[in-house]
Amino acid sequence: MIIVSIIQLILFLLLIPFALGISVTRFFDSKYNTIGNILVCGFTCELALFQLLFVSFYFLGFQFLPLVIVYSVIVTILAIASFIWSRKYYKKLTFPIIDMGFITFIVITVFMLTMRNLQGVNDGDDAFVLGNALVTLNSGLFYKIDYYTGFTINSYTRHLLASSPIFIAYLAKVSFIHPTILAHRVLGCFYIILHNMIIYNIACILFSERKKSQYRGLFAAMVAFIAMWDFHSMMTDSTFMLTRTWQGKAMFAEIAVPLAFLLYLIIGNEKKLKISYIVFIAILCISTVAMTPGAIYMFSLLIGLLSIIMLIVKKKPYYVTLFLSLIPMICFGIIYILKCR
Amino acid sequence: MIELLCKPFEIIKSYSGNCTFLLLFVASLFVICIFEKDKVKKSIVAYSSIALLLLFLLPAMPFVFINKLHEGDTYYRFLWLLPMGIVSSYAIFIVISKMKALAFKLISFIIVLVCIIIGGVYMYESPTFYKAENLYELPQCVIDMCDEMTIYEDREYEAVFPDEILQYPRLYSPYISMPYGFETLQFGTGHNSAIHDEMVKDDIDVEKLTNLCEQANIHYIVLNQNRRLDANMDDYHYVYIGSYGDYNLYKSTEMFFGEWKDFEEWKNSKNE
Repeated sequence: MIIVSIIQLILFLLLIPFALGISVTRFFDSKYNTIGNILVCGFTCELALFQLLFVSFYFLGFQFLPLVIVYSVIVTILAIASFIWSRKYYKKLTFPIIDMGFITFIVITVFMLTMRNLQGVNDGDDAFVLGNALVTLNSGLFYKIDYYTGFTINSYTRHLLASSPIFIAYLAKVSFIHPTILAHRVLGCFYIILHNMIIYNIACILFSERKKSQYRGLFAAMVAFIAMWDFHSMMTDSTFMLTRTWQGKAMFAEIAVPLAFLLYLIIGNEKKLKISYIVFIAILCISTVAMTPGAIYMFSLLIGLLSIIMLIVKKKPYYVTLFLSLIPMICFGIIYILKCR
Repeated sequence: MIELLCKPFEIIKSYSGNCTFLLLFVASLFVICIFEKDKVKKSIVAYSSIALLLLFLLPAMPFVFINKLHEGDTYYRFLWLLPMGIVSSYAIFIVISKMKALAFKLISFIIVLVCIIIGGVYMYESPTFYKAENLYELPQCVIDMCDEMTIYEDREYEAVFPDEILQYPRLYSPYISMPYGFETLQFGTGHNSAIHDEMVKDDIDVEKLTNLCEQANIHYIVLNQNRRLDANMDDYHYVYIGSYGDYNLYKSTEMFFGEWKDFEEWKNSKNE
């Protein structure tokens, strides 16, 4: 059973994102076609698809098992189609420069992962996130059982749009691993790796000149080092990232926000604005709502601001089309106002 | 109005603690604005951060999000949009890359590391962490108690837990239900608040607690050993099962613990 669980986790957290991601990064300049970018973009697509299906299924009155089956089928078909469509781009992968800085960065990342596994976290929000995942997995119902107590309830819609706990339940279902073990042991490490991959890819853009390339690894190591010493309060993004890594709010701070900066740095370095960027930012917006409903206004603000800056920097009116990527946020905003407040 | 003006500063103060990293971030923004020549990098990394910081401080923002949308508790999360680590690290390496001699670069790098260590607060010494005792990263005593309680799988047992371990049982087993859950601590209100009120007392009125628990069909009561009991729990239909860590587990003698198919039979025999 353990072998099956490992195979399923490799499939859903590595192979499928890697197959989906290449269809996003094929539109980027070849120097951005890195393993980190492919994996992060693929995972974002995976989560966004789950979000769309979960919200649709919830309002159509379907429950957990149909969602598991339909999502598994669709995501597998999409991954295979993406792999076939974009397979030649795997030959054009850009690899990191292995130097002392990069090795330091890897050592710090391994340290973070080790600490993640050596220490448990006393955090009450797990009662919602993992309690919800466990109840959904066990009962097969969405928000019909109070995850805090086990009471039967009519419905609960406050956190409806944040499907990340249901995504944990889904991964637990397909990998046969208890949601608490999955989140604390596997997803905690996986999200830290994704975060560090994004930071390294940001480093590749910030230090793109050949003579400054030696700073890439050191920069990424420094960002990680600062995060480890940023326990100035329980509220900092680093605290969320390193303590409650698997929770949607932490995913928002550790994955979505740096990924937005990475994307706009990539867009800024391109000569033309491709429609694929707008589509991918829209996909990213959908996935952020899966992390936390607060993303509807927070992430919209960030994307809106970065788009305005891009419009000013590029001085080309068609950059205003970047705002089209906020359409999903408007839709989720309407659903939130009508159904969740 | 003055309150709205001050609120963002209060949040920043409690968010950034001793403000070392905040000062480093602000200084870094200046460094990037002055030394970075690439317009795109400067705009995305520095100007966006400045704009976000100004937006955060603008009274209109707390007015909308705190007063109108009632998001006062989560308003600090706007600060997550500031890429503090990225901006600070970038500025550090902009300055270091300007230095010619390798020795200067090394010394500056070491000074920066020392400043971060002195000004920072080490994450892994946070009180939220504890040594992971098992794969679940949950307190072992909670797992042992839940295993003891779950006599038959696929049916639920109602148990009441002390506040300090309230969030854990349902992270381990969905078959342990509770008269009140973590929402009681999080929101200050919840179901069966009378039982909770009794559970949090240092001196527990055993008769009152057990009566309340029986009315709510509680199978198990878990009490912290540091609580003083004014009577023997055994005399009120809850017998001592064992100790798990700092907690004592008591089991009801009046509730049904069997499989649901045997419930009618148990009920009839009880009535007789």
